Parts: sequence; C-alpha cells; structure tokens
Amino acid sequence: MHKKFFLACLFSLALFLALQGMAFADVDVEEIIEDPHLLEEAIQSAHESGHLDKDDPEGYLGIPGAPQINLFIAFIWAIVVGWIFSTVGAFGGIAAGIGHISIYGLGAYADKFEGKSAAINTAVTDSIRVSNQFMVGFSALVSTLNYWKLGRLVIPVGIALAIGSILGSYLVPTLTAGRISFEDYISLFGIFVLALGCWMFYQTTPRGQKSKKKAKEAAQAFEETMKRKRSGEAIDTSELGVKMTSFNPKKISFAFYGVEFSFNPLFPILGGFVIAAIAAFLGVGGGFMLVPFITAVAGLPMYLAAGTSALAVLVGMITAILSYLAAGVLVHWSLIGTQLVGIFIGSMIGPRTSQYIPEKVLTRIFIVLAFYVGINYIIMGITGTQIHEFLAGAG
Amino acid sequence: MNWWDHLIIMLDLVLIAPYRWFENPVNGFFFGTFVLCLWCVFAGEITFRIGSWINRNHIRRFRSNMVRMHNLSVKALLLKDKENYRACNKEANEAFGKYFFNMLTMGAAVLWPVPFALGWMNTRFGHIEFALLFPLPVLGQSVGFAAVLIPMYILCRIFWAQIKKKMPDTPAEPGLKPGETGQEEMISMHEVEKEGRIPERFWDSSKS
Repeated sequence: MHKKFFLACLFSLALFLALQGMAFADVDVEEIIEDPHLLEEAIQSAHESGHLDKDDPEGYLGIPGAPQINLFIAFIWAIVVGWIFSTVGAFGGIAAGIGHISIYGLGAYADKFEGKSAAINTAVTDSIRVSNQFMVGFSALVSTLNYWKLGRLVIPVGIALAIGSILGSYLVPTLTAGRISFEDYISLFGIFVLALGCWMFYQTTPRGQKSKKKAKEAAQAFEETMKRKRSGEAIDTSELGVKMTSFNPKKISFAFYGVEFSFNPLFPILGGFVIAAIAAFLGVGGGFMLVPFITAVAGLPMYLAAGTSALAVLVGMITAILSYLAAGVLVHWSLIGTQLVGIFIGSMIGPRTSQYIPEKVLTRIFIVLAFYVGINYIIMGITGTQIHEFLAGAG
Repeated sequence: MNWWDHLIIMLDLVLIAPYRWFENPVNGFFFGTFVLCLWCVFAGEITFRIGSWINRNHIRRFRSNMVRMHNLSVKALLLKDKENYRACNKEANEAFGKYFFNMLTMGAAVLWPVPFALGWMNTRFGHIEFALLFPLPVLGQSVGFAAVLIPMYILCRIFWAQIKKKMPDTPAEPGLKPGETGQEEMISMHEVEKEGRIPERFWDSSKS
C-alpha cells in the first residue's frame, strides 16, 4: 500500500506543479505561449539550402517531402515485433528499431540531409530514438511495475542503481539530442545488435549451455529433495529479512535470511549508468538488462531484483523521456499507438506458432538475423551503403 | 468522405465535448483531459482483459514455472543452502525473463490508447504551452499538454486499481470465477517472518 501511496504522491506532485502553472496562466492568459518549434527552424534552414521544398506535401512529423508513414505497414511490422517478443524476447526491441530505421524509410530519409540542413537529419534520428524508447520502454515499465508489488526494495542497491540510471538517462538525451546524425546512430545501433547476436550465439554453445545446464540440474535435484519434505522447518527468527552487516564505499555486505552476500556499490552505479545510457541512446528499453545484472552482481533473489530494478527503470524512464521532450524531440504519437496495438496482436500469435517452430530453431534464425542487421548497419554507418552494395563494390 | 474520416470526426466530437462543459477554459481543459484519461483506462483495461483471456494458458505456464523456481530458491535460502539457492534463483531468473517479455506485450495492451490520446491532443492543443510558476530542472519554464495528460493518466490508473479491489464479484483474472486466484502462490517473505517458518501449504503443494 505504501508503494501506491508513494506513487500517488509523486504524480500528485507533478499534477500540482502543472496546476500551479495553470493557475498562473489563468491570471494572465497571455502566458499561454506559442511553441517555438525547433523543427520549423530546421525546415526553414533546409529550405534555404535547397535540400527541401516547403511546398511539398507534409510527411513524417509534418516535414515537407518527408515519407508518409503508412500506418498499415507499421501495424503489420508491429505484429511481427509482438510475435518476436512473445517467442524469443529481447530481439523484439531490436525489431522495433529496425522498423523505425529501415521499414518505414525514416533512416534513408534522415541520411539525405547534411551540411546546413543537418538539423533535419538529427531531428528525425532523435525522433527514431525516442519512439523506440517510448514504445518498448513504457510497455516494459508496466510489466516491471507489476513486479514491484511482489517484492521489496533493497534500498542500498536501489539507490546505487537509481543514481547511475538518472545520470545515464539525463546525460545521454541532454548531450546527444540534436547532435547525433543518422550515420552515428546506425553504427552504434549495429554494434549493439551485433553484440546481442554474439551473446545469443554464446548461449547456444556448449560452454554457454554448461552453466545453464548445471543450474537446471541442481534446481531439479533440489526440487526432488524438497518433495520429500512434508512440512516447514522453523527458521531462526533472529536472521529474518535483509540485514546490513558492513557498509563502506568499497563493499556492501548484507545477510539475507542469514546467508551472507556482498557487492561493490560502484558496480550497480556503473551498471545502472551504462544500461540507462544504452537504453536512452538507442531507445531499446533497459529493464530486461537490469534484473539479470542485479542478480549477477548482488546475488539478490529474483523477486527482490525485479522490485529493485523497477525503481531504477521508473526513474530512468521518467528522466529520459522528460529530457528528450525538454530537448524538443518530436514524436509521431499515432505511429506509436498503432505499433502498440500491433505488438499486442502479435503476442496473441506467438504462443500459437511456438508449437510448430521449436525455440531452438527460432533462436538460430534470430542469431543469423542479428549478425546480418548488425553488420549491415555498421557498414551503412561507415560507408553509407548497404551490405550487398558494399560487397558488390568490393568484388 | 469515407467511413474512416467519419469515424475520426465522430471521435473528435466525443472527445472534445467535455472540454466545453466549463466556461473557464482552464477548468474545461483539466476536466476534458480527465475524461480522456478515463477513456484511455477503460479501453486499455478492456484490451488487457481480452488479451490475457486469450493468452491465459500460455501466461500461466510461464508464471507457474517462475513461481515454482522462486519458491524453491526461498526454501533453499531459508535452509541456508547457498549453492542450491543460487541455482534455483538462476532458473527463476530465466523463467522471469520469459514471463517478462510476454507481460511486456500485455503492457502494450494497457497503454495503446495513450499515444492516440496524445496524438489527438496534439491536433487540438499542440500549439499551447503552460508557463510554470518557477523553472524546473529538465522541464524548463513551460510544459506542453503531455505534462498534464501523462500524470493524470497514471493517477487514474492508480485509482482504478483501488476501485477494482473494492468491486464485488471481480475475478482475479479473466476466465476465472470470483474468489478464484488462478495463480500459483509465491512464498511471501512477510508471511514467513510472521510465522517464523514457511507456511504449511507451500510444502503440501510439493507432496509427491
């Protein structure tokens, strides 16, 4: 209940601030000001440099001559994204990014602008980044917040993560909004996809499988032992809950129900920062990386890790979204809404196809795809050509 | 004019009406946005219920696997068996990942009306900004319409969750009768602390 109260207080505060502003505006209606659209300046600049004709029909974000987003294609692609989410997980976020970059033609369009009209390039690139972040991040947030109910927060870990998360989510949008060209973005996106592909591949190798297999066998053996136990043993009530045993800048040790754990507080701060920075920069959502990270670093039980990471995800997402919006990044809201509906429908299909396509086969397909997309985007970022054009040129 | 344009105009008329119910435009703006948030909560809730009903077996399977491993890890922890705790926790984490991504799509089911609402508000209120009493870090000196809709929507969802709990005869999840929980129970640490042991029912369910 106190968590809901805390949330209600937080958002009441936000609403109160808005109301205060409105009250002020009510006194002097002239205070309601016209939005000085940054994009308009960019359009004007591109028009003056001859890269764009203001008389062309308006397309994406109202930019004259920009591609018209076909919401039907966006919807179909989002179904594919939803299907991937419900079958192979994390790759769905990448597929959402591929949609914004390649399927709707936004990447190629942004890439056309350079020199004096580079502002259009960065504006469209920022819009791609923030759209991914909104679409994947918000849905992940709802999912993670549900987990907040189940567990409790491990305050020192939560604070350490939140510090890193706020830093990453604030610095990245503030420092990069309006400054990252499509070439820079696509190269880094490609590196991330390639890294994910390598990780997915590692998981399928005998070495990657070994630790998984070991944990699985140990868990099964333990389950068998537990089946033979018919009643709960009394536990030492002096050792309940999380108890801090030592706290210094280098090491935090705590006993969780009498079992000792320790971690270096710098790791969650750094981890929170890196994960939030990647999530905010690429717009891939960071929640899915946090829970395994906390479990690995602090050894926290899954439900505590989920609850604790929810705090970091929440503050990170709020900071990133506010920072992007404050930086004047524009979003095609109907496109996001259409994609969310598509993702939802795709998730209805996933369970129904998984009985025909084994998970292993799917994982292999997506590994190949990750390698192809990753390398293609890196080459596109460096040379400005697609992989097949690059190979043909090299040949 | 085709049926799609008709639909858009009809929707626009329905959504803008509450904004005109008050003479004072500021009151009208807040009331209209509040009604819009209620529409978003309503449409999201319906979609979520339909989706979780269609996918109920699938989601339950993932959840039950996760809960089983979590409960085992808690048992190992309370027995001070660190090695088995780590193994079961790893498995629980793996299962959580699968459940997480499936629930992520349910998040999309809940949230889809919000971007449409923002898109619609942009057509009506996109050109205005509200001055804040004092400049805020990150936000600056003024905020747009989204700064009203998003917090108001979140508050509406929190209150809706409270109302739902008090509503009689509401099943815990779609496809169940009222009173049925339908979900495998996770061991609650609060209960363990209260009883000083893992409650009996968690051992009963493991009887072979």
